[in-house]
Amino acid sequence: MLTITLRNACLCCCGFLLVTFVLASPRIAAGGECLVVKHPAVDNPTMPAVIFNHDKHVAYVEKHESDCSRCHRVTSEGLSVAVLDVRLQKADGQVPYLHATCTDCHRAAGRGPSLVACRSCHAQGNILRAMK
Amino acid sequence: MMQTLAGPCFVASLIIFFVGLLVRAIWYVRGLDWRLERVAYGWHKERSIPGALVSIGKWLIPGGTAGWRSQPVAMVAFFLLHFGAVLLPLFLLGHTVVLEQTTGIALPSFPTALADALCVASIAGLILLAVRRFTSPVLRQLNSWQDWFVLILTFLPFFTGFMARLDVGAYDTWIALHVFTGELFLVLAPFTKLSHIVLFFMSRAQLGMDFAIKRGGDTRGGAYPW
Amino acid sequence: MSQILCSPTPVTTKEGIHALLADKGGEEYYRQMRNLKVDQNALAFDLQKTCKSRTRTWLEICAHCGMCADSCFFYKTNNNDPKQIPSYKIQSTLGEMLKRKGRVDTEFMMHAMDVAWGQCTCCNRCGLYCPHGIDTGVMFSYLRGVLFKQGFVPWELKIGSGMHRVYGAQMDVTEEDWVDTLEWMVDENSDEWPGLEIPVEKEGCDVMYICNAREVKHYPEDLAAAAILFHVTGTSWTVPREGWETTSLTMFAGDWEGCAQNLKRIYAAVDRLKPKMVVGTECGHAHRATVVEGPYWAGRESGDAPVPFLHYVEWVAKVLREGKLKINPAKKLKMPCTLQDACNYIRNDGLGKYTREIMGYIAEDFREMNPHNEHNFCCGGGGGLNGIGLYRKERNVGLKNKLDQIRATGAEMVVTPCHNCWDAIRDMMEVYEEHNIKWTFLKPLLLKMMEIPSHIEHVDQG
Repeated sequence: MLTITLRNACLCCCGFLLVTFVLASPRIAAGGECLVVKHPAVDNPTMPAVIFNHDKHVAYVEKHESDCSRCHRVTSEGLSVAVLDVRLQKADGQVPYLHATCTDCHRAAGRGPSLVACRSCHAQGNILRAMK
Repeated sequence: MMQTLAGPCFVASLIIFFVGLLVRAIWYVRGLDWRLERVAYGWHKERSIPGALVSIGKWLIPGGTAGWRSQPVAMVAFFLLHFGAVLLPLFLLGHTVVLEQTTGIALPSFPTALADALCVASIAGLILLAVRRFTSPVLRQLNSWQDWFVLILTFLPFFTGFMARLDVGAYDTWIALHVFTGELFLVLAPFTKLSHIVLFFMSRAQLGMDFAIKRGGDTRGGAYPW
Repeated sequence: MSQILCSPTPVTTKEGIHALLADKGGEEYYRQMRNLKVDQNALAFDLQKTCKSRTRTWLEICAHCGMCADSCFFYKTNNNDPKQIPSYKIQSTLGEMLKRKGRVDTEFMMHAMDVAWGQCTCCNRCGLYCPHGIDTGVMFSYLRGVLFKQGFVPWELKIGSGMHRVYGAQMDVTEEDWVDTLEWMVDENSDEWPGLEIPVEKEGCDVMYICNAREVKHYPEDLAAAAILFHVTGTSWTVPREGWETTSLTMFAGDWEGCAQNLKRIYAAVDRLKPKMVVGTECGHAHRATVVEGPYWAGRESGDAPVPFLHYVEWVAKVLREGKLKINPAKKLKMPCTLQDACNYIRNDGLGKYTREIMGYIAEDFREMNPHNEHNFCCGGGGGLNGIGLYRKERNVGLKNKLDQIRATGAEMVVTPCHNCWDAIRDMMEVYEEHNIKWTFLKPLLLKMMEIPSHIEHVDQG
């Protein structure tokens, strides 16, 4: 049970996301650093928050001779915290922007969940349940 | 595999579904023959159109017709299934997200609780229909393999989708099965009794027009009192 | 008997009819049928022509939901026999024939005949209870047509179809018989009704009256009653010399060519006499054949008859409403009475409001059957079943349903403005030994209870 949900959680959305650390990001031997995505803030969310495995995405980027700019804008102040241009989207366009950005890259990479596999990424409840 | 299933396969099955049903609808209308059926389809629009609309509309309302009222168990089972079967493919959040992402068409989506309720109701309706099909002497006389086949074909997308939604394990497998069985449903719909998705409307409209144009619409004052 | 009685060829000669009539009960006819070969190629061709998208869709999308079962009086009266479910009945006959593309044998065709005429009266009630709008009664009618073309038709209807083709009427009533009967009825009643006439072939009248050969042959007093009612209401009316027969056993037989011939005779009379309207007698299937289906057989694209064709109940309701016919309140029916809704002009032509309007004028204690009006049950003898000896047993079982319905109303009188319903109700009272319920057409009732206007001369024959 544990391994299954963790696998789900950690395969989740490759991270071009703006993330904030609400919970201490748990490090799990099999998985890596898993973050709970809290932005954009959604009022009355109908789906569990997205669990994002940052380490796994970093590893993938490094292995494929790319760098952080795949996901982060490089500014004079360093790397943007935000995923690409999500902040420039209007409020109701941010979720669709993230859906598209994540899954387009997954499709191109031939890896990671597709858009139809909602709960591969929206898995917060599960990982908490699993950690208890 | 999932990328193929959710991508090209999905698009292909949608095309087969819509084109297939459209062809069936066109074939139906083109095959109508006023002389053979003895219905002047092109005449008396003032009563044929209301006749067709009432014939469809009343049957879409639970208890809307004497037929529904006379068979409460069948009615409950049908409507339990069909509310979900018609509304969930269109308005479930996951579906609307995919639809918007792929086509730009943004539909409103149901709150989770409503979607869950509709899904459970549909599964309950399907089980009721299966029990009825299995136990009623009437249905036992009529049953054919295709009746069971379409029942199962309808059950699978609901069941797999609901298992995925519960997310109690093997999520990837359930969601893949959901997409696959959903596509199977779409692909087979035009070639099975599921074609009633469109032919229900054609057939009901025809009989409504039949009664309105020819069988008393003039004296009855239009639509048939179903 | 070596003569060929049972064949795909319709009867078109007097000799042919006499030969069939000589075969008592159709014994030899049915014996020959058992050896009648099915022309499978012709059958396949006919099926192709008969079953287009509507029928094929009906047969294909039937969800086998069973909602039609309880709508069928045959299913109910046969202890819910699953073989009597409308869906099963049509799928196992026409459906199977189509599936096999006409590759069926004689035994199959005879079974299909038993179902098409012995287990369905084409009342169309199941069509109201199907969510998919599948009208099985209509399909059975087409099945009858397919069977007729191959010669698999009950003996009486083979004769009936021949009668129409030879005599232009469902019975061997010639033009001379017709005119003689009219004269006889005038003679018979002119003492009581001085000035009574039955104008034959008069042009430009308001009403052209058409009727049922049975009335001419077996109860001419019905013709006299019609004449008296037209006389009393001051109606300008006439009857045609040819084209007076409005019934159509050809429709029951599935003989579409014969149906068209009937229609053309009537329409030719309309062309000759140019009446403002046509009124048909108290008959259900005659109205269906002449007014509902008829215009199509005559090739009229609008589906409308050339002039308004009224069923007798429409005409009666009209003259009552207009005050041309007045009912003596003291003579209204006092006993509890009910009304038989004939499928062919109530469900299938919406005339229920007129029969109810009439009941309001003539009955003090009118009780509806349950169900009634559009949702009524067939009397049990419709679709030609009354006349078919081969299926008498099956019919008598089915009659019980209507009898139960009538009894439940507590009525002592059933007003029955339809020949077939009238026969079925008469027979059910006899078969089930019910002696306390009477049944009647409208005309005799109206004659008894109408007020005679002062300008109409009437000599009481007391």
